[in-house]
Amino acid sequence: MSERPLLELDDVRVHFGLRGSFLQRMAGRDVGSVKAVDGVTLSLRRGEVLGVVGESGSGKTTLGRIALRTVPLTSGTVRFDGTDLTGLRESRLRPLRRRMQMVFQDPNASLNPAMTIAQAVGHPLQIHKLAMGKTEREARVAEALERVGLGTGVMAKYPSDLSGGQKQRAVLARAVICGPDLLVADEPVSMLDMSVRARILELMLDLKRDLGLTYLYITHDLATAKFFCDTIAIMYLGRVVEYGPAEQIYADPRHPYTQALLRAIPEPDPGRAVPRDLPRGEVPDAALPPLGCSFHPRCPVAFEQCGWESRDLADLLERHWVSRPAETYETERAVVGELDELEQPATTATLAAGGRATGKDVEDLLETIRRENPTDPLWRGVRNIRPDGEAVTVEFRDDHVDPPLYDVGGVKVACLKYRDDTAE
Amino acid sequence: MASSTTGSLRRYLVTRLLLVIPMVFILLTIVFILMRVAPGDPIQASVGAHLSPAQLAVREHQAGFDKPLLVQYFNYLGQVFTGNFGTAITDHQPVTQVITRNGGATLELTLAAMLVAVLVGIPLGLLAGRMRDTWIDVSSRLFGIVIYAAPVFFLGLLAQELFGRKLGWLPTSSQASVLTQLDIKPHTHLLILDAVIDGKWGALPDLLKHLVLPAAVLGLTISGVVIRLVRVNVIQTLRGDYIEAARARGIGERGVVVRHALRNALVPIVTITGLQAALLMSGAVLTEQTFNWPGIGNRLVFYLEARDYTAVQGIVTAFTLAVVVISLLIDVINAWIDPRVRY
Amino acid sequence: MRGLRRALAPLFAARGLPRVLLWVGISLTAVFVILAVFAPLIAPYGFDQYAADGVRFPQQAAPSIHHLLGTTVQSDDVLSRIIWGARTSIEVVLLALLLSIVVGVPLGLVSGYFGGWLDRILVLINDSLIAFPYLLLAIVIAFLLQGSIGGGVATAAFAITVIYIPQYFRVVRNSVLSVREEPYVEAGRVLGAPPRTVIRRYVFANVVQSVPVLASLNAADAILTLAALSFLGIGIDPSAAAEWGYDISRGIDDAQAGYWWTGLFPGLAIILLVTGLTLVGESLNDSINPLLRQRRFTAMAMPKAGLEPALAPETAGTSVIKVRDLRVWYGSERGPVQAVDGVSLDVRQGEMLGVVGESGCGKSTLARGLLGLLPAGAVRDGLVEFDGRNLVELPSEEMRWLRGPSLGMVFQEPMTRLDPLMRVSAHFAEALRTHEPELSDTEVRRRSLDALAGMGIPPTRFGNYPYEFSGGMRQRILIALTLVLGPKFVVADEPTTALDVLVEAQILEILADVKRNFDTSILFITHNLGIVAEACDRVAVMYAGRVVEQGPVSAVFADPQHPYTRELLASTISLRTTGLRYIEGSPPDLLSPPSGCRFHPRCPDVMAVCSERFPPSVELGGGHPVECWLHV
Repeated sequence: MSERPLLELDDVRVHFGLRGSFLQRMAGRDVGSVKAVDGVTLSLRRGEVLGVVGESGSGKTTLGRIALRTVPLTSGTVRFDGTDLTGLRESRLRPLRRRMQMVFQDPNASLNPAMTIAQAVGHPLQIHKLAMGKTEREARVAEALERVGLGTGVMAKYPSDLSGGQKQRAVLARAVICGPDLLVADEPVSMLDMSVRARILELMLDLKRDLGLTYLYITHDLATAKFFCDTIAIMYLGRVVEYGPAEQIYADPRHPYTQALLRAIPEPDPGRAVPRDLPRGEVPDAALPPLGCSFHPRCPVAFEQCGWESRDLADLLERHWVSRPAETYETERAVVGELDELEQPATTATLAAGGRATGKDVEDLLETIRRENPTDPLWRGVRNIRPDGEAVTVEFRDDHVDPPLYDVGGVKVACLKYRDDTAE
Repeated sequence: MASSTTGSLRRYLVTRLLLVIPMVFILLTIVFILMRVAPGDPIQASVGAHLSPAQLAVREHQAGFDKPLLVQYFNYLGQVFTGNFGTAITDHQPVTQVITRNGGATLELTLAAMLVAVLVGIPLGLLAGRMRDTWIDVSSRLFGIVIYAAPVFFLGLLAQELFGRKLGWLPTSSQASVLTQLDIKPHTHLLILDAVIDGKWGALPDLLKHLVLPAAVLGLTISGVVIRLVRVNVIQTLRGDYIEAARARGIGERGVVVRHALRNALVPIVTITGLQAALLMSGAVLTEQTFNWPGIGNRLVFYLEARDYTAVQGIVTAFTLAVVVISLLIDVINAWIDPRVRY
Repeated sequence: MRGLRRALAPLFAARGLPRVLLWVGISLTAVFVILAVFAPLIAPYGFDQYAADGVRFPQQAAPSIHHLLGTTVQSDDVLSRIIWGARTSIEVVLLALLLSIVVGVPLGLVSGYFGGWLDRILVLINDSLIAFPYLLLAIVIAFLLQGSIGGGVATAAFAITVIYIPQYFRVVRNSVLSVREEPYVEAGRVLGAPPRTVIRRYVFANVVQSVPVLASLNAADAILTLAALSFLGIGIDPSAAAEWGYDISRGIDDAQAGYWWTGLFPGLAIILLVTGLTLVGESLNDSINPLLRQRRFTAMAMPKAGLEPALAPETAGTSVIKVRDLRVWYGSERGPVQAVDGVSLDVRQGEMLGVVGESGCGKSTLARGLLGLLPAGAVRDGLVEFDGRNLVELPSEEMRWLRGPSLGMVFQEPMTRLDPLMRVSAHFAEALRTHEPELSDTEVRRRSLDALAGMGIPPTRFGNYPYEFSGGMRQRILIALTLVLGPKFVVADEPTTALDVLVEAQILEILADVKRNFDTSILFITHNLGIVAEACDRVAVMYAGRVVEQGPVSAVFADPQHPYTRELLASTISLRTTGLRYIEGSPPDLLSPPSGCRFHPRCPDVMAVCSERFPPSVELGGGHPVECWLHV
């Protein structure tokens, strides 16, 4: 039985132009765009719970908004229950909205401070004209509130009178009152206390069972995702890097990023110590992502074709100097000139010598660094180091590959390690 | 990644200068539209009653008022960009000359008043914000509110009464006594500056005595606004998280206030001060009337009463350009102080 | 009806000084409004009446019984002109305000909500207009309109309207911009509400409170502008109505001849009315503007005897800091908030103590209370022994000297904890020079770079501004800034809560290294039990202002003795969780906590005695005290 998926995202991309106005462009400032979501393909079956997991800057929140069509698409298509939502005008989209709703992260800010709970929860009924008159509306609001475990006593209250958990339940009541098919939950419990989280999650599971809901569960917390989700998609810098059934992903994570995320989750087990050897660095700037695989600068197992470039060289220098005392930094820093040029991504990097140093001196410095840590993945990507008078040219391999999702035993992984494991 | 401070400041300057162009265009267009709001044309409105229809037509043709509106608009713009602000209808003075002759006096008054406003307003505002809800704060606020509530011409009246007539300490009108005026060569029309340029130190006491009352009256009125705005900004700045973090590092109160709070509050304070320029110019018109100060505001009222549209248009245009220059200055100073603005 | 009450709420929310100012302002304004409305009944004579019963009034007569405030050169009664002038002012200003609001507010709403090209153009025009000297604008418009439609109330009102429209536009637009990004507005859109509904019920309903403030301040300004216009002779036509500004212009000539009353009283009238309106606006602003609102705590007396004394854990080793029965209370208008109500703990050298609890348990207050960083109005009692002294009793100057070189604090939100106008290098220079002024420049630089390197911040970024760093890096810089002075004891108040999990793990790794290499004692506050288990040596579980259980991490996690600890552990969702457990109810209100044991309303093991008396502290051995009747 091939049932039509409820939600389909097909190579969706959302690029935000940077704030540079035309004036800045006139002044010659290079303005790029932030690729918040950069080519994601997913589908959601009815009754499925898909977890979209990522840190900040991964694009997971934008993905939720793509599904709900509250953000303009740069390219790609969104289909909901067979209907193509992509080019749909807002006025045609609005009636469909009652079938897809959202639960937000901050319970303190997701309810209109100027509306009572009854008004807020009942508003969808008004918008979509689903209740005949005030009495019926109030009755259905009361019913929805009971369903989420809030008594009718809160109906006349304002959001500021409720606790965080109560507010989140009111938000759920508002979301389900119209009987939607799809619920996008964007970090619904991360701002709640531990002892309250389980309650809301349980409520969400009950609603799923009773109302036949399908969830797109967005979170940074792999622990709650494991409990809640059937399928997991791990996102990094606008792309899906690993995607498959939850049990498989948790049992055998393949992408180095997924592995790191799982290792980093704190476990209330006093036998465990703080995890070490986690990927270094932070999520890079989404406006100028790294060449090749966007995870490569942080990846402990990166190799030749992962996308080595000039910025990695700058990182290498910085990492080296972090590990040296200040005096060494001063002397060595004098050898190298301006590092600004390295910020432009390229597979050939020119490192100018500073002051009275020569290209040879810079090369010596690089060799020293290499000797200290020859296993640093960066060296696998260096093809040639050539002193050139007052500078040194470092040539990286230019056959880097931006890994697509490879199929590895039922799980899709965007990592070059698995390139040969499949005919993809 | 090093930060190239001067580079980004330079970039900001360029983009900000470019923004001047649309701003000037918009304002000049508004001025043009305003002046045409009245039915009929300016010449008709100003001297139409005294002339025969034939004379009227000749004058209109001379001034170009019989051409289509769009042509007049571009003529106007063209004239402004060549520095020609037209000729007054009533007394046939080139408006540009009027502006340069009287502009200096207004500038002198405005600068002196700004000095008073800043010297009185900023310290009081800082004090009030720092010692919130103490009697210092309450009295500063009340002072600020009441002194702004007093119309500048009323304060002028009181000042003239007290210091001029009752006590006889200070003169109550003009920029300088007749003798001094004959003595000084007006290069810039900022007579104090002219006196300094020519080394005529003896004239200074007279000039200053004439300047004190109008500058003080106008400056104090404006200081009322400055006090309140500075206070609010100081309060907001002192709530900053980085202030608490600095205190947690054991940085003393004085270090916290001077190094952190003051500097961060300075950004909006600079903007506030700059915005007072508009207020000052408005107040200058009234002050000049009250004290018979020979500035542009005085001339503006004169031409208004004479219904001399061309002169009025020219003067208003001059004010417009001054406003644009001032707002440019404010933004540049802001960018210099606050690196985030340039980004 | 309820909406109206909510809209007027700020009027009654004002407390203390703002309230006094507000009502003074309202009274002043009310006086003039009454004069204006009832002018025909109150004014002794007409506004240009110069005779009565065929007898002309005296000219320029000093105040007397018949003419309480004197007469003008045209024999008009000054008092009557004041009253009629009030009517004119209020009429004009009301009309002008109404027009400005009707035009400016919707424009600001729509422009702010939809953005785009239209918005950018409108903003450019608006900014240009606001920069323009408003009086000039009003003068020109009034002047032009007088030529065409005459100098009545309408002309003056219109001239004033035009200059205030940009203000409403700007204020409303700014409010809309900030509200527009709020989740509840997005929620409105997601629900399927059409834009007009979203704007009306979600945006405008939350933006409307800024309008009354602006309206009162504008009204004050408008009175002044009207007076200025009349003073210059282009305001109200004197034959049409009385106006204060015009009277003052006449008064100037009179004053020179010694007739002081004709100009003085109109001036005083303006001052009083404008002051009144400004007071109303300012005090409303004080109450509404969240940046100005103050959480006022009044210092109040704390009863000598606290709850049950809290036992400190029996531990070997030297304690760097000893806390005994610490209480921190805030006095609010509804009574004392017992945020920390008797806490005892020890932190040994080189040890990391995790303080765990949910929102409202008092852990943040504890952190600040230890370092003396409490707001005014908070009272402390008890013992915090550090370096042989009780920090609770130390004068604030001495406390300040301890902060930095001996005591350090790391805060929760790193994004706003660095001065945005100071480079990182300047932050370090300030910290080091304040406490060790004899250091040379090279020394300062060396120590700063080393501290930063220890946190993984490369020296190449030493001269950067805070905005050039991510949140995680800023937190690391802040930690380096705290540690560069070498404090023995550091309080970390949820330092990683706002950060991503990988960054969080990096920072925890760093802290573990710091603890090990420098023997620093760390009090680590968090709500995350996993972090405590992995990073901390000992743990203290807080609930409603008390430490209900504390001990070695291994002991407490393996076999929790307090029901709250047990439930908290059980409700923590980790990769190993198989079932969902939660605690019924919610944390108690610290204003009036439950009687007896504060956890009893939610405790699955509750007994009769639990609601009657507070449980004594019992040491279970090995430095593991618990406060629970189950163990007495």
